[in-house]
Amino acid sequence: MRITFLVILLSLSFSHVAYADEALQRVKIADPFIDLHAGPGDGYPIFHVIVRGDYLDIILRRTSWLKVQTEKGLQGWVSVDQMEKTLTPAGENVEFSRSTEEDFEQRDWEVGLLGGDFGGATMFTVYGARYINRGLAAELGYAEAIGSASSSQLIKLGLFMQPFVDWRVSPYLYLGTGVINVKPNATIVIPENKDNQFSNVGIGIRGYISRKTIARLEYGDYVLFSADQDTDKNLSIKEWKLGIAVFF
Amino acid sequence: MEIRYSRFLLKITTLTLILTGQAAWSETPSLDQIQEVEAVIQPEVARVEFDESKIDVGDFEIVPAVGILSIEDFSSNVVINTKFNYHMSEDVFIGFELGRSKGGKSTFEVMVPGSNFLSDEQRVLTYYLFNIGYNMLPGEAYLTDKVTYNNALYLTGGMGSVEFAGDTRLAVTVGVGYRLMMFNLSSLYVEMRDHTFNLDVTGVSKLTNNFEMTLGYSFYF
Repeated sequence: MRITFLVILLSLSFSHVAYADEALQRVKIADPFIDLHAGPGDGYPIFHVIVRGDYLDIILRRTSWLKVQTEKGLQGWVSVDQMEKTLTPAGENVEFSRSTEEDFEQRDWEVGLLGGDFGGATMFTVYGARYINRGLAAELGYAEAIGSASSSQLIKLGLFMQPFVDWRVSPYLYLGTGVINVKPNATIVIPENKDNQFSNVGIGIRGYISRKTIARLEYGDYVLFSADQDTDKNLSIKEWKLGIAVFF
Repeated sequence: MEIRYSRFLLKITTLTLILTGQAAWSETPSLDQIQEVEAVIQPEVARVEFDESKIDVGDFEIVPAVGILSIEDFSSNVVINTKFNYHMSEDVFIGFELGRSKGGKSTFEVMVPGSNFLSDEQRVLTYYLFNIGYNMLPGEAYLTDKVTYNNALYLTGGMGSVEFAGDTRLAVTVGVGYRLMMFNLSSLYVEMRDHTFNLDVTGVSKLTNNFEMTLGYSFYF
């Protein structure tokens, strides 16, 4: 029984190896030589050099580093920049996809995280945006503001418009609406949960940093409808926030 | 006579040699024929085209972890958390994290029987954090003379919210972690952090330091 189990285990592990080898992509070195680093980073030492004409199998990619295996089974890491000086089995130049400013301009989705101040309370916002065209996007966000007397949760839906689509750092206008739930802290005497609708206008700038990363800074004004408990009037809250986003 | 006989034999041999030689020559295939034959032989190894999309990319990572969280005044308990990390470069990663633990009884509650500051529900501590990490000391760990793993000592900081004792509070977290990249698609994590947030359970708001130590195992995708 134990032997059967061992055999199954062994065959499984071998079949996995066979499968893995089959799936690996192979390139031929066209540069005089390529450095093999001990790890995925410039700080790792170069422990081996592969010369022109040798083949490399690519095991995986992590950020801008590729884990490769030589024909003799030696494993190491090569930067994407160096790896582009290799040839495919068909003799063409190898190209690896990397995010560029052009991809930033053509982006379809954006997911980001912002932190800042919401009327004196510390706030975090997570959002996802879908670009309708290069200058217009719809955004869905969730925010939480934690203050000394109360904490609030916001769900918001909005549109932002950026008139200068070709700029690396570009200003935008934001227009949104949503619902805010204000919950007073347990030690405060009036424990009343309140839902209010709000509208939100904002102005900000968004800039491409590198690879898939965007920085975003925004100043906004919220109007909470009939939120003032005594007079039932609208409340205005100022907000600023700063954060980063990743685009796809 | 003898000489004539041997001459005759020599002639026959020469003739045979020439004839067979010619035959052998005529059997040698022309260049066209060679190419035809080679085309018939199918190469055993199919030419593999390069396809970048077939390379495994592991820039995203999920890290479930378990450990101990010491909640100031409310004893230490098991904490479970899960991080979702995105590695922006070989040096920097960002992530979102959810965690859960439970506070015990404070010294006051133990000393004075029947005095309960918090209900069971309020003792549950949950947090979420937005983290940023920096791989400060990347290196290698030599397990044996043949087995070497990459590793990194990283600094981590985060901000987020903690819900405990019926309230949501702002949490600021700093710490240090160790990552051992044991396999292509998974790593082992040990992390030590301090979550700081204000607690006003006793009536006076004070800043608390809540130390956490976790062991995690990650999967890249």
